Amino acid sequence: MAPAYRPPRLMDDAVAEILLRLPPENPACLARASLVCKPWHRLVSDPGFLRRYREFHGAPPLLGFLHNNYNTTCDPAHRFFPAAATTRFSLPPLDDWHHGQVLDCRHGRILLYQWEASEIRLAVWDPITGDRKVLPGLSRLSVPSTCYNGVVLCSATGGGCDHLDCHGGHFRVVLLGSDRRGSKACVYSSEAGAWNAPASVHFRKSLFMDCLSYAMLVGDDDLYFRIKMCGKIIKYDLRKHCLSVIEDPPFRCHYNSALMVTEDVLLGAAIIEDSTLQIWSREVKQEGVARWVQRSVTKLDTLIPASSYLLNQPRVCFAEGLGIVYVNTDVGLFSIDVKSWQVNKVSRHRDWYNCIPFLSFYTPGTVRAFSHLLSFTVQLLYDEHKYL
Amino acid sequence: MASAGSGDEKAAAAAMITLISSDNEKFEVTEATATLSQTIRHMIEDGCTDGGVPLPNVTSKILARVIEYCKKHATAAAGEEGSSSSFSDAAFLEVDRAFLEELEEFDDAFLEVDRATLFDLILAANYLDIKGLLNLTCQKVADSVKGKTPEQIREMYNIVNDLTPEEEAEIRRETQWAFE
Repeated sequence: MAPAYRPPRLMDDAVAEILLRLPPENPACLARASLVCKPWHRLVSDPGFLRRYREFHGAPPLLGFLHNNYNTTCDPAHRFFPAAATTRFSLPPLDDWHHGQVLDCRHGRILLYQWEASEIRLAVWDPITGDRKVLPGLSRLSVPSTCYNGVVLCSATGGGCDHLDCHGGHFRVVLLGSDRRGSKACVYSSEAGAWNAPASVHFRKSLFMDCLSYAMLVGDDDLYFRIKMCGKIIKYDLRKHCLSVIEDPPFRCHYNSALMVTEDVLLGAAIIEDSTLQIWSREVKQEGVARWVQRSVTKLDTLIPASSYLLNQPRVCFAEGLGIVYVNTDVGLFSIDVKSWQVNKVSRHRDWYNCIPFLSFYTPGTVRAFSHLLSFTVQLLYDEHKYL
Repeated sequence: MASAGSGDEKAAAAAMITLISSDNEKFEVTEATATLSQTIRHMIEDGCTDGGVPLPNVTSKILARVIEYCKKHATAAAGEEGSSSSFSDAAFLEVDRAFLEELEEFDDAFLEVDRATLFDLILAANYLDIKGLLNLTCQKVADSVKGKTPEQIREMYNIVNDLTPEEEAEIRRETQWAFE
């Protein structure tokens, strides 16, 4: 029998086909595969492989959560914990920004805030490519800083990007600051390299300020931030660059709740009240008036063990893009899929202040590939400059 | 399903393709079976199948298995198409589920092969561009690699570690969390 002729190119293709099928929700599989031999390593660290891996799997997996420590003197100020007991993943350390608090994580980027007396310092970090950009400082006079929060977004709009796993392109940062009398919002565009003039809104009566929640993006243009204790929601329209104030759903206490996005892309809210999980949505009726509608009420003890939340007040957060509500209790973090009502215990970790989901694909060597590319580009620019 | 003996069916039955393995063995298959391979479909479209299709990358042993897979999946696809017109919705769903279950059982049994054969099937599926077979076989290998250490993967698939200790240390530094 004549031996079969196997061109080497075919071998590479076959290996790529196999490695493409390793589960993205457990990045350790690809990491270990990259240590098998040189060809396997070359293959998985090629940016082309990352592109194919993304196309093959569609939506990026939830790799874990970022949270800030209660105690702001903690080092580092933010922590990462994996999405499930079976997920092994960690973010690389952030040398000079380890004191940074995480404000947002969206479209593959993390927005960090570092306290300084004179100005607001922000940085946008892509932990998968290692790319980090420190934004020009924003004067504390530009936006009130009694309470503040920010959002980082991919700049591409109108179908230019599916936002499933954006890396390397231009981004926007929206910073919202509030005090008792009103809110102001400024937008930084990486394309322009500058902050724009702030949009502002005044409150009819002065409000009690505590903190602004992690923002929800509904559709392409509407960002919603909550001032938790006073039951107000501040809407920022990205297209029109304007702010408005709307009421929270009629909750008795606004604390154990979070904004969410419903399956039909409406602003929603999840709250734990009277040992039930309630889901609300803001719906526009015929007259064009929007109002809150209660969609479901589910007894909490049918979802998670009663002993888990009796000890303390549970906290709620929502993972945009996943449709999952996370409830943190004294025995750990539970995920509740509001479509299928499937419940999982995600982590024993309970000591968090906020909880921001981190969704991304990871392929080994991306950091190095991007940094090599960057140094190559810098060298090219340098060479070009030299010969001009 | 089309009634037996119709002109179309006769024409389809007559359209046979000869596949020739690397060791010169000839396999007669229907066009429906052969065209599960995109590579062969293109050859048929280009009219390059007269005198048989030589497949110098596929041995007779592997080609026989590939044909077995294609026959089963081509039959299932034809059955599915035919059933939609002759059953009510509920009956159609029932038949559909039965088809899928039978196919799943077939696929599971099909994968009961040694590693060398599995790897040859991947190479053949890739070369012949048979998406279903490539997915099935690659997923099987990916599942076997999933929980393994680099050392175990090398041993399973007889791979030589050609990374230098320095390269290995650098990769481990970046992905330390994967080995904790």
